Amino acid sequence: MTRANSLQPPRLATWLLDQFSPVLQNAPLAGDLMEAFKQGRSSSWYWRQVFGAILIALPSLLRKQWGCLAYAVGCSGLIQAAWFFMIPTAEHDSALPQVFALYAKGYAVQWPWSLVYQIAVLTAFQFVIVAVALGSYFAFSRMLNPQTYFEHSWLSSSCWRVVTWPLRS
Amino acid sequence: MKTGNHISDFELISMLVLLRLGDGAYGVPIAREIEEQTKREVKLGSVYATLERLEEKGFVVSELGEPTPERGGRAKRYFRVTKQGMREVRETRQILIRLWQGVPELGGGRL
Repeated sequence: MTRANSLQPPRLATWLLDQFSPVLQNAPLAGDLMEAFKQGRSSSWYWRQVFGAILIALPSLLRKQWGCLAYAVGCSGLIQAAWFFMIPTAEHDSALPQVFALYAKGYAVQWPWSLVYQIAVLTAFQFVIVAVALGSYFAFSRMLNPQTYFEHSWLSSSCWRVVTWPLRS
Repeated sequence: MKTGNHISDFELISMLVLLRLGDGAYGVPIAREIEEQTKREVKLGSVYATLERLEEKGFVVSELGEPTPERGGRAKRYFRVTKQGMREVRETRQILIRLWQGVPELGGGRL
């Protein structure tokens, strides 16, 4: 029989579990772990349970959220690639000379404003890429969801019929 | 020939534990009972994953209780076996008994 444990479970493990709670969608699990710990389970047991819960939930999360994951990977890769080709190196010229010229203006400004300027240009550049990627993602996910696609098509064609009805009649 | 969901050994164990515990079965006692009966440490995460899978199949239902301070304000989730789940357990038992009877090395169905 285990002795009752009046201490709180490891804070870091609880924090980690709370971070994953929206993913795990299982607050009762966190409550069960806390209750079992207070009934005398060890800290190492608690850690093992937390890691186990997260690892077990991951495949299901990846299955449910594969679109978001693909978007995150694709978008991160796109930003890195765009950044790499925008900055000229000894091997290649800038693929986006106008953007680079805008960025290079920061070199002529005195520090720390040069840093502020270049971070602002970089952020704006990444914002444009993310906006394009996000737009493509929504367009792509709509195409993958036939119900939404057909609803959208039905709505568009209905609106079109209503708008053009006076012309047709 | 019947087609449909088969249950795994851990799903069967979980459903039998739910039946043993009766009303008021939630994560902690379920995991403890499984550990006592199997003599193995179980992950509460895998118990929940299994019970959620059984719930999707319609063999188990769950409901949330009231949040309590001892559990950091988190509610208990109570599970129970449905009639469909009971049928599935009985059918699985019959299948296992038939299979056992065909293997004399395992005692031919005698427990």
